[in-house]
Amino acid sequence: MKDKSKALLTSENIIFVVLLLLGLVLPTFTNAYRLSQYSYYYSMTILALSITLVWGYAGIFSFGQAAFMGLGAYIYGILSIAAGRDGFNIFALLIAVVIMMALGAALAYFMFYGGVNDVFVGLITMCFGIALQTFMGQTAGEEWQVLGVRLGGYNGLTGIPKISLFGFKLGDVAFYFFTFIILILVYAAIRYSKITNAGYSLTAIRENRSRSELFGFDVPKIQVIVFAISTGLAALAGVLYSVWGSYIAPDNLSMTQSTIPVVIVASGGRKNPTATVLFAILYYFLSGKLAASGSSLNYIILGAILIVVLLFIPEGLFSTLFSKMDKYILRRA
Amino acid sequence: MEKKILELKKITKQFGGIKAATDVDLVVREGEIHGLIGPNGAGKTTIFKLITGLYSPTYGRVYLGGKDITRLPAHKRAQMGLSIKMQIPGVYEDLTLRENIRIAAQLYTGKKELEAEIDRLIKLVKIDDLGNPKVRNLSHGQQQWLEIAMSLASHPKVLLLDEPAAGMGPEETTFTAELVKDLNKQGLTIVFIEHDMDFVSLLAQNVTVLHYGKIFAEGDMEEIKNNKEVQKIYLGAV
Amino acid sequence: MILVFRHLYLFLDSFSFLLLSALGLSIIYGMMGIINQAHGEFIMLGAYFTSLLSVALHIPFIISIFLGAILTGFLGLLLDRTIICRLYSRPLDSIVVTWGISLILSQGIRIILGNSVESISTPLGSFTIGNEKFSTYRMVLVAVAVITLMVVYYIFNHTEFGLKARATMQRSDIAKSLGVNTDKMYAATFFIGSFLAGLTGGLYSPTMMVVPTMGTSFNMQAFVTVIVGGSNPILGSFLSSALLGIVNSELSGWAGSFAGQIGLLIMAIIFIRICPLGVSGLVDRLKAVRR
Repeated sequence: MKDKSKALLTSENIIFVVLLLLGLVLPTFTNAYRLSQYSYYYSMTILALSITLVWGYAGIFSFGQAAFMGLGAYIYGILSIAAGRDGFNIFALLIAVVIMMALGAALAYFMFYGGVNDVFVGLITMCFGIALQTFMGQTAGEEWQVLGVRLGGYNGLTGIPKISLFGFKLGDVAFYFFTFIILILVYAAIRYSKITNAGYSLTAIRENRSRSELFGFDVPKIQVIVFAISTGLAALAGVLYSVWGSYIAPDNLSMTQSTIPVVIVASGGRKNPTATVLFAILYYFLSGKLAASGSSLNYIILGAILIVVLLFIPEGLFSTLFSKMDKYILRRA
Repeated sequence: MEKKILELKKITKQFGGIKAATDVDLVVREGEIHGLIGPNGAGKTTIFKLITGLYSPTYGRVYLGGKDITRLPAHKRAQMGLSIKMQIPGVYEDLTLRENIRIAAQLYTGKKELEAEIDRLIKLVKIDDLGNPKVRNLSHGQQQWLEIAMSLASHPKVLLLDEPAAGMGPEETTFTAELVKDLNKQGLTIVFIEHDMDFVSLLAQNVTVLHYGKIFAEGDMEEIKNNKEVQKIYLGAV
Repeated sequence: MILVFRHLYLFLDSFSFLLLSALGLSIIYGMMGIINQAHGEFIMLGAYFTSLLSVALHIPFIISIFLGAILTGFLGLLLDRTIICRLYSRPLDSIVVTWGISLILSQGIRIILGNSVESISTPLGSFTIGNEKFSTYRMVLVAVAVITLMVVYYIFNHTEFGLKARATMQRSDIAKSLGVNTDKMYAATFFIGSFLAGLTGGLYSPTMMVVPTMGTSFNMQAFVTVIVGGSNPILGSFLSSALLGIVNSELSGWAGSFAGQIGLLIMAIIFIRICPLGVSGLVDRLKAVRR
């Protein structure tokens, strides 16, 4: 028992617990507006985690996550606006996630059972994402409506309603905890999976796809499953984002929006969900500060960090930090 | 006569204009140790890839335990009891020794028995003195033994070994040969590719010789040893 | 008759746009297997350089285009030698790194030069057939595209440099052992690819708004053309631009430019799935069968 608790005492875990505690007490020393910003950060972190899962864990290069995120948001928006009843919205969220998982599974089936892998998966998902964005952009006319809700072309959907739970509409503080808890759950699930059979099968196919097949792993099937889950997570992030901002538009499905979380995951440490969470929240928080002071340097700084990391710190900034801290501060191998 | 455990009928593999294998017939019987030899580039590893399913034949059929597996995907063949140790070590270098075996074993062993199974496989291949390092820190020979342990996790009927003695010194080679003999005594059919002729004569009961993708000769070890034509193709005369 | 000409015009316009956008990217991809995500930004830089040189410094348009292309070429060379060359063996990482470079370039230009820059207005006016007007300049660009392709063809097939380049593309290990300096070859290739990108930007700068994000529209079209074209920069790009030019111009003419774009993307997806080696791969297979 003592060995097990010693094994848990890593810098990564300590840092995570600190973040967790900070997140719990945050509402006591910020105002409601600032707090709602964090809901935005947490949503985008969930998007980043979807990439940690599909790319970092399974080695699948999905380049269009923002498109899945945006489409999930659109589906939620259409369903919730069409239903017109607050109590329904939590189901709208679930339905949107399920629909997107099915769509992700279909695309994945098309790719992986067709023998498409590596770079080409990136290219197909990229093209798919751009096609989706282009399509949503030209839905301005009156004839473009689903369930009576106009898609709105470049302007997108506005007036997306809040979620209600047990009859209570989630205001800023409640929604903050809602996204916080979902983030923690997603993080925990991804992290825990690493030591399960499922997690090890992802590791196996990431490290050596064809060899894993020869050990008996049904590689295309596993790839479809993990891709579908990742798409579902992206959709979940999208729904939360659109509830936060009460709006979704084709711009949110753009390549740039897909690039940012990939860059974050690559820079933080693509195989490490704690690194992703830490770097994502840090990035969005600092971007917010920069934007407030009128600068758009955030993209440039992010691009520069990415280049430095890929060239010199390939394990990722925070992954490397965790291991260095373990080695020198905690004195573990 | 023992029953056929592995059979290739008229296997042909063409890449564009190049025929890597032509009309290869191969029969391996249950309990055999079968050697597959031939000069470099003869197509031996290609044959292994056709057996495991990494390649699909342009023409011909593959049978495992009497069943036609020609259309079966690689992972199903592995689950049916066909294992391989590859020419270039097919191990997960960035993971630890135990994690490697865990991955190989998890499809065939329940959660509760997994740790014990990993221990059993380590003991079987006699690598228990290696500890649990990251596999990239193991020597080439140790990685090959690890890979054999991994290939045994599926309780295979047939084990393919692609150059099991490659890069090994004399002691390690002897160890590997003993290991192969032991596994065979326990009922495992073994087909192996080797260039080290001493190793081949130590172990092989039957031998198939491949040359330019075609069957050049077959027979038991004695016949092949004394076959002058076989000696010639190795010296480049044919 | 006018109808036929209109379709022909739209096709040629699309064809030349795709060809010029994709040629540089295709050469880099064919040589090094690197998919340069910053290609669109190089085109944008070419447009910026050309606009600044011609409008602000009053340098004649044609010279500005060449100067802009050369400057872009050198910038590409610099990025290759400092950053990208370290990732030749890591193709997936090179995509991500060039993404980072594209972020820096597009946002950097926005910060330094603001949201748009004045470009020279489209020269040469228009000509009329029947009662429809067509841009003369864009027809000239068709000729420029074909000439550029022919020049690249000549360089690759009739010069010593081109011979070494093709050898390196096919088997870099053998080329190296025969004395070809493959490092220099990659550097030269990156220069040429970036030069062509800058050239494209300069050539098209009068026809569009020169803004920091203009690279994205070129990027997508270039990518699709290279994906469908495959690894042969000349034959692949040519056939691919022709095929996609038809798809794009017909769909756009029928249902608007969005439909054209979506058509291109669907073509790319289908090609990757059915023949991932592109048109070049099909041609290679046909050649092998005929032997």
